[in-house]
Amino acid sequence: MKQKTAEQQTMPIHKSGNPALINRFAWRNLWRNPRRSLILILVTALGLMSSLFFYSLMQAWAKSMLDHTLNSLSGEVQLHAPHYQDNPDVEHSMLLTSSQLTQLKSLPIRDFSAHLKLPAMIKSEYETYPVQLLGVEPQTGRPLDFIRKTVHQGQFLNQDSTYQIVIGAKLAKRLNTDLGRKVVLMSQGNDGKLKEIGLTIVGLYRHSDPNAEAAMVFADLKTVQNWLDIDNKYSEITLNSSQPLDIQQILNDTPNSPLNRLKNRLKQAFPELDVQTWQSLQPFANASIKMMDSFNWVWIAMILVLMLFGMINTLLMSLYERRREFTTLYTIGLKSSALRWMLLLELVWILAIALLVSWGAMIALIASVSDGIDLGFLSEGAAWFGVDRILYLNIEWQDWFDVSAAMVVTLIMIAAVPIWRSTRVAQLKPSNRIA
Amino acid sequence: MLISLAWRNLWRHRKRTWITVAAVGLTTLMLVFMLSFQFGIYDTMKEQNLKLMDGYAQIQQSDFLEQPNLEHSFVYSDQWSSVLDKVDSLSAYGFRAQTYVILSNNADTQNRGALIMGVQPDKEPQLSSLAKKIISGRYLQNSDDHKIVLGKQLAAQLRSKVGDQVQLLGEDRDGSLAIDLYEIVGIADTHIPELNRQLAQITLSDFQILFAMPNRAQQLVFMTAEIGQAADLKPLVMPQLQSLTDSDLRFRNWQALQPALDQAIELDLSSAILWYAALLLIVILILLNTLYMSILERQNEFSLLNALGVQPIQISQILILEIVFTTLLGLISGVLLGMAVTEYFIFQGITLPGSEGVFAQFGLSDTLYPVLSLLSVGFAPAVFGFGLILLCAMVLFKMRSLKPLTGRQL
Repeated sequence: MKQKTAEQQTMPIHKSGNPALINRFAWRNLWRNPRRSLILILVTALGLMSSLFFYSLMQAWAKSMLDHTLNSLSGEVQLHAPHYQDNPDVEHSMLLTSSQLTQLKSLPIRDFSAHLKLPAMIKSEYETYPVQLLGVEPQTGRPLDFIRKTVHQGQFLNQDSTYQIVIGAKLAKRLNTDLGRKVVLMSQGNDGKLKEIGLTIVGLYRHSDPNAEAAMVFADLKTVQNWLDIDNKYSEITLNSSQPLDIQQILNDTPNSPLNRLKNRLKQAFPELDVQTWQSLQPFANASIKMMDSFNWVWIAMILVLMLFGMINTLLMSLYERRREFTTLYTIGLKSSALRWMLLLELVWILAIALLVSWGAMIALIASVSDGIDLGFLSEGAAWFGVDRILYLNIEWQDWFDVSAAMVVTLIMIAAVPIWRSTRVAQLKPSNRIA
Repeated sequence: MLISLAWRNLWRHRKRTWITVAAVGLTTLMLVFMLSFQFGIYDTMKEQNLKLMDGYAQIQQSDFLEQPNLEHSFVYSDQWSSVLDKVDSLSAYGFRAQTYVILSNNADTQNRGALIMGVQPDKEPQLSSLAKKIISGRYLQNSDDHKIVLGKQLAAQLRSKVGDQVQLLGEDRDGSLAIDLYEIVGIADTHIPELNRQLAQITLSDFQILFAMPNRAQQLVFMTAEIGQAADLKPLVMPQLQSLTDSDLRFRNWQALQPALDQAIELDLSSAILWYAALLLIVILILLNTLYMSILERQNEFSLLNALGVQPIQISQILILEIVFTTLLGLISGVLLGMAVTEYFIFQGITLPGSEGVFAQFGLSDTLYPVLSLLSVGFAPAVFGFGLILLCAMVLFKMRSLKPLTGRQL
């Protein structure tokens, strides 16, 4: 037999307003019927875990969508010549002087890319296919990393890359050509006439989207400008604002955000150009990211309702079953308020254990997939939605806290009603219960 | 008697029973509706994407899918029609050929790359929705000679309109220069700018002459009344057609024609199934908890019944009947309500305001319609059925150790 604490020995039960004692009662009560408590903990933990898991998964999905949208040379803000969006061709390119380029680079931005993006035809000795030609400055930094990092044969363009081209492995296969061989590019020049140029393949890349791998080709900007006779002309300028975008910023989009401020400055500096943010250029990605957040909360509400059903049901049963116990406790002097606290604390303990279990399980789960979830077998499907083939789950402390807090507080508030009802003095009077 | 006992037991604790019924019912309702809505979106996506160009299935030369060039074409003959006309489920079929060329306007001030397709104008309107998307002029006709239909953006880029001539420059099947003049008879708008910039169609007979492809095509496009019927065409047509030609043929279902669409649906469905599984697991645990507690709470009652001569197996039967009734009540109400809600939206459609631009990207209109199917209605009941088996196993296990009530316990 356990030794009683000094506190218990000295304190009569009718003065048991003592929170520590009530807490001890609550804790012991849990383990009087351990299986019931464990099932309740399991239901709650599972509900919490699935909410946290899907929240993290959605965040990973939205983040991947954002990265995919912003990192494929498209950036947060884009500048084009008017009507380029309708007809993305050489006639709708923009002329920028070096001082204008310097002005652009001096803005509060993280990175910058001025490039040509034109339709072209590529010809090998055997085949002809349409492609999207990207004339890029090889020294462009981060904006080109998305392709530089995926060159698996040969190398990406560098300063000495005049008359060189980097194409996708899938396109190389289609063209029946290979690294080191020559291809001919055809596109419309400044004068409207068709122009041709011979380029050597110096690199082959892979892309998570097989269609992009068959369509995008990269050549040195100066080479393309000279070939098409469009010196200092660009199809597109992409900029990323000083602060990297995250999902929260997208949800709380304000006119005063760094991105919108950058857009407004650009509009003032280049009134003749078409300045657009990624939101208007990629409405699907934008809408999806916003929708996912609201959908997350709908999902959490659904889980919450079901958890409530389970919890209230169990609670009703246990309250019914324990009527005699409550009456006895009341008869020997436990106040109804103390009884109420005891029952609430039982609930709080269950929720606290479920919370610990669910967070622990989630941290373990995320640690076990630290290399990301590979959607490789569905990579074309992923590209269709505009996400990368690998999703990275993250521990989102703040979001997890919000989700858990919302669920736990709602559960306690709603469960408090039957507890209050069954611990009213009228219910506890011995005459009502014990004959 | 067991049935009426079990039924009466249910209503000894009305509140509890209703909560359990509501949990099962609500989950079933949600699943029926959400799955129907998802399947509705998938069907629309498939239909609108495939009807635009690809058809529900195709027969191609074996290497055409990987390398869509003129070399990878097949020889066909008039005998093919006699085979195909006998297949009842085939609502339409037609031959096509395609290659990449450069189109120039008459003044040669504009040059653009394009995907030129040779089509059979009399068959094409049943195979592709393009013929209905002509915004200026008309679609091709069988009697057309040197006529061309262009996509909206392509025509604009070439600064050409209906009645103007364009020059086509490409390579024929032997690698020689293929060059000719065509008169624009129609301009089409598919609402997909990338497609409009590439789209050019001439008659298959013109194509075969220009590109040195007599009696050759690269695609035999099939259309059936329902998309599901297309897969059944393979055994009906492939052996006979293969015996009529030396070319190596392959049957391509829609999944092979649009792998991205297929995978997108699979990805969406698998993530959704993961959600539903979590949801159902929670509800089954709730059922388990309810049952478990009711067994614990009623231990004395069962022992008394046992002492009065009721066999443990009969008590188990009562308990199983109770849980079956509860689940059935939930399932029936959930399925009926779910079907009613779905039916309502099948007539009304679900419009998501402001989503037109977003959905157009995927070939969808802004109003979506759910589709009731055996899978969408049967998924939740099937999982609950499986859960019930587990619950019954638990009841039998618990009741094994039941002892009759003794005087001391009373």
